[in-house]
Amino acid sequence: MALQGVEAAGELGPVGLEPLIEFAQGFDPEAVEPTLGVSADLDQTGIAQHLEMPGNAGLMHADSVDEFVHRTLTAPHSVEDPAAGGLGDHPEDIELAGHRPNIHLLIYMHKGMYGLAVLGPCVGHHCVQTYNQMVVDQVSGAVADRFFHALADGTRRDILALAVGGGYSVSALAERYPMSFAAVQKHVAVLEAAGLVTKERRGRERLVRTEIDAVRQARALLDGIEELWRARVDRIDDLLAAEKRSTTGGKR
Amino acid sequence: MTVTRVEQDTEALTMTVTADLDATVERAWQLWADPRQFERWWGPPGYPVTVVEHDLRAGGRIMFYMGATEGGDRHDSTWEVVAADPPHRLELRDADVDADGRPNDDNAMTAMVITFEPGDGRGAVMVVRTHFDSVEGMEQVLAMGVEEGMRIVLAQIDDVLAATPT
Repeated sequence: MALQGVEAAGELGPVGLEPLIEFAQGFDPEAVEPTLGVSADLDQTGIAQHLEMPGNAGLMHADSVDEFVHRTLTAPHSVEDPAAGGLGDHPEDIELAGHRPNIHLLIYMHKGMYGLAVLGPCVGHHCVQTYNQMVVDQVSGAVADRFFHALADGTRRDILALAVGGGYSVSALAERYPMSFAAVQKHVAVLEAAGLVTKERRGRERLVRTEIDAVRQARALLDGIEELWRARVDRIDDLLAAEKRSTTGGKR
Repeated sequence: MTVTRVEQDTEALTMTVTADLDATVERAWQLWADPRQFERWWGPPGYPVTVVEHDLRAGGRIMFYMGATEGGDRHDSTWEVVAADPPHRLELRDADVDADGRPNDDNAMTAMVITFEPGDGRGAVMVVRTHFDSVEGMEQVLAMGVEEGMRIVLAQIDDVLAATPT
């Protein structure tokens, strides 16, 4: 874990993404306690750890990413760091919560800086907010997609994406997957328990809707769509460039 | 980056993407007018676009679907051509019914105005203005794009990894 110097990164620059990716590759999710939600915030406040428990949000500072990771992995859940402040002290900090048995590593970009986060795959309500917060802050829409990528269960991830529009009942969802109604219902229940979806009654049906604050959502969605368009224009560029090369080659 | 400007209007639910293209206006128009070219850039690699109907005249219709490889999801899209003024301006709208006259549930009700103008140099400036009827419409577009977005991200990560000395 050659991460020395990363914590000193005040801005996006020479540090770059590589050390974080290097760390990510060596990361062992099994080594992390399941109910832990942490993040490494690389802005001027240093590296912070957020522990999410009902009524307990802690912040821990460490001198290096190594130390941060070590303390995170070894810390009890109810760490009361003397130096800790509440999350409210750092409103810009990204808030993460992991309450699921599998832990994933997330590399994100926040205010022009890369960050490192450890989080549960079936992220709780706070993670949805994090997703939005990051996007609202004009972070690349790709980060939001990485966030979705961090949702380890493909079916639940898919349900979340489908239910954004609130147009599916559980039975309509069930028809889309090669699994039993009960299995899909269970996935929905897990999402509902995590506060990620709600059910609303429409006529006889109960429609599943992904819960995201509407205004932020609009912004997040525009960011996502912007990302789609940037990728499209990149492909147009490639297409035009390839054509130009073959035309030039033909003339010679 | 040839995307030179992106304007988002959360209130009006519009997004305007401006891109400088290394092509003439006529050539840029072909990106939309030629279905085979459109297929090559609308979707990301590994998520093929298949155009099944393509009548780029006012009152005409464009139908295509994305995906459907190896058990993947398939997304159908139908657009109505509201106006077509080659090679300058194109106005499209998501159709509210599909080819068989059924409500087109897969589609977000959105409108797109695409314009092409000569740039400062030899290139063309393409402006795509997308207007969404509702937040729900945007939601649907993005929900359809989640998988696509993930593919983009994964490709980006691959690129970064490839560029990282081992």
